Amino acid sequence: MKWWPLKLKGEPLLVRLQLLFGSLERRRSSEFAGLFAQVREAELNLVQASRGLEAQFLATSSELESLAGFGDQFVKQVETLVSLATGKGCDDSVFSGAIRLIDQSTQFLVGCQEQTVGTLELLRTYNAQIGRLLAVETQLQRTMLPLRFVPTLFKAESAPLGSAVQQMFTSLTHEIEGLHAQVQEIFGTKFKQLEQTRRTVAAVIAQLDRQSQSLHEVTTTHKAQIESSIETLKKEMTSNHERDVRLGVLSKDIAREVEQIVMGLQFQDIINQKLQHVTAAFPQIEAKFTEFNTASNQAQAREPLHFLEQSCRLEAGQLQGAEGDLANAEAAIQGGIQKVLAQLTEMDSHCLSLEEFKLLTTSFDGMIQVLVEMIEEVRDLVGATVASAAEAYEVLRPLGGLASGLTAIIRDLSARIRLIGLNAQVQAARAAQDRRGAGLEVLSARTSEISEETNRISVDAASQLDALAAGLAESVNAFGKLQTTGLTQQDVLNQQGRTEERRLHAFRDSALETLRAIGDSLDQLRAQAQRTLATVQFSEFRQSTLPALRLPLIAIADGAQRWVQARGGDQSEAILVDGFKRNYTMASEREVFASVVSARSSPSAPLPSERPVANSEFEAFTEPPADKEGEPASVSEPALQTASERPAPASPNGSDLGANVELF
Amino acid sequence: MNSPQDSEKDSLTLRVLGDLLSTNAEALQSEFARLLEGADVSSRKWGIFRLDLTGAKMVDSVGLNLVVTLLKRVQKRGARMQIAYSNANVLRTFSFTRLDRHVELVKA
Amino acid sequence: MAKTILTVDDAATMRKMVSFTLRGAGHEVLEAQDGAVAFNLLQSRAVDLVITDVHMPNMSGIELTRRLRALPSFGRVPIILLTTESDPGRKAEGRAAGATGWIVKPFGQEQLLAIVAKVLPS
Repeated sequence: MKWWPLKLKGEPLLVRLQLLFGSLERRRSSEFAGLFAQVREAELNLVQASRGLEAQFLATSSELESLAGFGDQFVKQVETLVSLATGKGCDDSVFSGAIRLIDQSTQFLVGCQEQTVGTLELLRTYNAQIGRLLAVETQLQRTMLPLRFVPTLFKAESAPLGSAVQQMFTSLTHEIEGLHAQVQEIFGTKFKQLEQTRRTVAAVIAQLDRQSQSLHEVTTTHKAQIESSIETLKKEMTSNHERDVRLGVLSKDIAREVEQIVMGLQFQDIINQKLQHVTAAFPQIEAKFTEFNTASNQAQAREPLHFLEQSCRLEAGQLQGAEGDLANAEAAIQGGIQKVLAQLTEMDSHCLSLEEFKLLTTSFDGMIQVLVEMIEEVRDLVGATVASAAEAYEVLRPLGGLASGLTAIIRDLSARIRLIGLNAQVQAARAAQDRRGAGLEVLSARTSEISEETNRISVDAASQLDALAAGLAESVNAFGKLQTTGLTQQDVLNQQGRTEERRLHAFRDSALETLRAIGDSLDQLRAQAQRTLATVQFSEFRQSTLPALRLPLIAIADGAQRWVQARGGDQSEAILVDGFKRNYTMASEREVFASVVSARSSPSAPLPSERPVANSEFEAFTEPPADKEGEPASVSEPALQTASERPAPASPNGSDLGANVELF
Repeated sequence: MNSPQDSEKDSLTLRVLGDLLSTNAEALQSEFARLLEGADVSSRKWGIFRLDLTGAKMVDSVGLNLVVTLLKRVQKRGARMQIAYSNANVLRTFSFTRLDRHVELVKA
Repeated sequence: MAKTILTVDDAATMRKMVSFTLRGAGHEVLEAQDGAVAFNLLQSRAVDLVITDVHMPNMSGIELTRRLRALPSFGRVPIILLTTESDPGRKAEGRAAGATGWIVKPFGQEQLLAIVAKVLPS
């Protein structure tokens, strides 16, 4: 056989076998040496890589702080927006000024409308009066008709009485003819003007009536609409204050995810400490390897190999634990960042829709828009009212003067008629002196009667015209005052209205500005989330650096175990690595120790190296094994858990702060 | 400056050059009135009014008020309104103010 | 009400996370990388609370606690030990040194803030 060392030829069998085992031992020893070389190299890499890992975690922490800063800014902006849109974040002064102005203007319009109705009634009365005055024309014409013939009759009757008598009645007939001419003029022009006046006033009445009706409808519905809209809006704003906002729920969800990220980042310290405990164990492991290497026989080699098996398995378990911690931390941080980003995006969508609110201050049918439109509307209405009053004023103003002018003319007419009557009476008396003047006496008497009657009609008409003139003047004044107050109200609407409109628009603009800022913040958040995720690169350390140390340790442990078992070794032999436990500060480390121990006492129990590493789910750390009787239980480590799992609070001191907390 | 455009038979289009703000809202309202008048004078029937905001990056509150005014006038005539936009911020503004429930928003 | 809190830990990430949590709640946070630096800092600066790791180079958290409690001005200031250590013996040592409380890492943000609120007078 080629492998049979030549120098064994001729030696006794036992010696040959012993030498053979020795060479096998030497082969085994060189395998271990190879593995230990890997372990030493991996350990050096680990020390360096750990510093790199710490730097990565630190970089992630810094980026997370920036992300949190952007996130806080974003959430505050969303809260501001929601607050503005729902009315929670504004005091009444934003709307109360506009509401007061609209209310005041509406009251003004209602007052105008009432005043117009009153003035219209008066105008109708005056128009009726004008109608009656127009009838005076017929009356006067009828009454004065006989006077047309009187001059001719006077001439005829006075002819036989001589020139002196003729001369007497000539002046009377001239006066009567003059009167006729005046009356014709009055009938021809002034009464026609009076007729025109009546038509003008009727037209003004009709227009004002229409406007008044429309104003009445508008102000009535307007008033009701304003009151109803404002009432509805106020009610909505009030109920908005009590309504649950999805925003609050989302904020809490985000806080929970950030909590998981923060916990994930703390695992750098936990992993670091575990790795320190692993590297702290290597001098002892090295020493035992040297002891094994220099053992002269199997008995001497047994104990160090036994120790190597336990310690390498223990440290491999620690490293596997660290790999699991790192996987969990990576998943927590990456998953947390992705979830936070998704929640912030949802928050953005929510603040765009705010579905649970029926009415918003800033929507196209919200408080701002309604008030802005109402201010515009009352401004238009007041403008129309002022224009209408101005038009009525301009049209009616000359009419008073016309009436007064006609009064003067009629009074003058009346005076002339009285003189004619008097003159006729005088002539009648003179004519009575001559027996032939009987006819003249009758004519004179009749003339006097006609004059009396005409005078009476004229005086009555003059007095009616006086009243009409006064009434028209009053109406004209009313429209004048309406115009003046309307102009004042228009000024108020122009100045205060613009101020209130500016205030309302400024409020909505601040919401729109916040909306724009939210869009920008979301872009910043997405970019920052990418930057943060880019720093979470623990895979190489987890999948390469740690296994590079763990796998050779397992190989050493397995090899040592096989060697011991092949030589009749017992897995229930004494635990030689108890000293390591003194360095273990964490419950998870003691768990690894316990599993190594239990694997030894129950051969079928899975070795720590076979336990699966959770990459996508979080593992809750279990409670450590029960300590010796009389000793208090140690405090457990909290778990990295998903948002749906909450750690059960049950700390030794009974506080509600968590199982990992004790206040002394 | 704003310029009207009648692009299709049954529609009226008004293009806004730049943002829709308090500084140009009034002029735009006059343009719209002229556009309507022109259509009325020529007895042109239209069922869609298109407001072209593809050049706009933002719409402020006064601009929004104008859009609502235009919408009401268009609806009063039994027609519908379309708004063409290209900027995301403009879309967000119309979503937030719920105008997107009453106006067809078309991305350019 | 905002307080001044000193966080002591040789792990920069831990100091960052404690600061991040407490500053987010409006507190002023000072940092020290080990017990010795912390002790020197506290000679010239008053704080309302100290949160310290246990295992640190130069001076451990338990030793820091012992020395601070020996100072007349430090009798009332709460000292919380925030550590990976869960051994009951060490915890007893911390208690005997004068610590106010013991938290096993990792902590939750809301948890830390609740503890701070509990140990600090409002």
